[in-house]
Amino acid sequence: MANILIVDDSRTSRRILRGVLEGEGYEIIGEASNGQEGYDMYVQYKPDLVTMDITMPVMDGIQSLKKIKAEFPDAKVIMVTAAGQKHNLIEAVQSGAADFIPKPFDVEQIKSTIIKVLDL
Amino acid sequence: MFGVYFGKYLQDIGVLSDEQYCEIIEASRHARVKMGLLAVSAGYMSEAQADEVNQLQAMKDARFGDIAIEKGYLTEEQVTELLKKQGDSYLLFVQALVERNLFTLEEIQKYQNNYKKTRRLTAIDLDALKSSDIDKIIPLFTKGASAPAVVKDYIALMARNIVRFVDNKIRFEKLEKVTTYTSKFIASQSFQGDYDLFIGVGGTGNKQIGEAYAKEKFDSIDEDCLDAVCEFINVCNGLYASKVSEEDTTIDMLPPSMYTDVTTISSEGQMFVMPCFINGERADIIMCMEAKWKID
Repeated sequence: MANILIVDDSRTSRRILRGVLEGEGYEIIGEASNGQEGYDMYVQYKPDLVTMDITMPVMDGIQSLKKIKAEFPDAKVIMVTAAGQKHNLIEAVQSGAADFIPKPFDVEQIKSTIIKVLDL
Repeated sequence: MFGVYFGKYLQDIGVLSDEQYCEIIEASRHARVKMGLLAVSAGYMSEAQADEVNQLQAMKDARFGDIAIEKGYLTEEQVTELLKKQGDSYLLFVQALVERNLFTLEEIQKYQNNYKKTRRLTAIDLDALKSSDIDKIIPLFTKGASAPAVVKDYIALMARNIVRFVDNKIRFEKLEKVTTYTSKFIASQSFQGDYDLFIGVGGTGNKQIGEAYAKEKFDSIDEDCLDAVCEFINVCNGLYASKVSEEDTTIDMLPPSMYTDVTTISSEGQMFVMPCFINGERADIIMCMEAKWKID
């Protein structure tokens, strides 16, 4: 099964994502609470997939995505976003994000998005 | 929702005990069936269509029925019919009072007239309260505070989402203009952009919001609980940012902040607090404008 890195400053979101993904048999290789930590953990673990929140302290999700994609163009990164971040989302897609998962979470949507991106 | 206001009045004048009030509210709580479920069981929509509408609700601040009409899954007539089937929450409240032999219908009518008089409500106000329509109810509590439209719009949006994610048996009190606000528990997130806003939720009602949003029990209002409230605010703020972006206004959300020690928010600009009672616990919606707020 694929291994996944969760990058989100919210413990609540990390807990929900971990619960859903582990329930589907994926391995959570690590959790990061900001974009810089997310980048560092990506370099360390090279996960099969990353779920990346957009609004985070220290380094936001877009900057982290750009850093990861600059060094690892094949990286699969799914953005996690509340509604209302359309312009961020456009920038994320232009920077190589594979897809996005909206908040509040819908379990079925999380599962189908992960499957779709891992199949790419 | 009127039952929550009227029940509180009956409690305040001493004709309904705290215990009876809670029992009645609880009895009418589960009587409301979700619109999606009704539409599917009536054969108007498929489950997949209902799921799609639920998912779209995550992305825009609109009601299930409105989105279903927009998508062409339901007609306006069908939505009206389903709303009726959902049940009149005030009638359910009255039914619960009568079934328990607490009051006769005549007594309820008498108390309702007194309630209307003491609260200085017009017949239209009373109908709005009885409608359970949050868009009609919220203006009753925001109209006196000379608050700008941004504040009224945002409060209505958050109220809709409290009903959606937390509880539909909530009670609001009047929006107040203040200069300071102090609480031990505050979850918050600010906007920056075409205009700046501070949005916070303070008070012990944070526990109700955090637990409902995270679907998890918290022993106290700790950082995990406030983190869940921050996520709830983030979702509300996202919906708000999405709505104003349609008017070519750009506002960006900053990372959320939480405060677990006694914290005072003060502002030299406009600042408003709207109390909301959830299961008897008070959650204050705090809004500051013009980037003049200070947090100590």
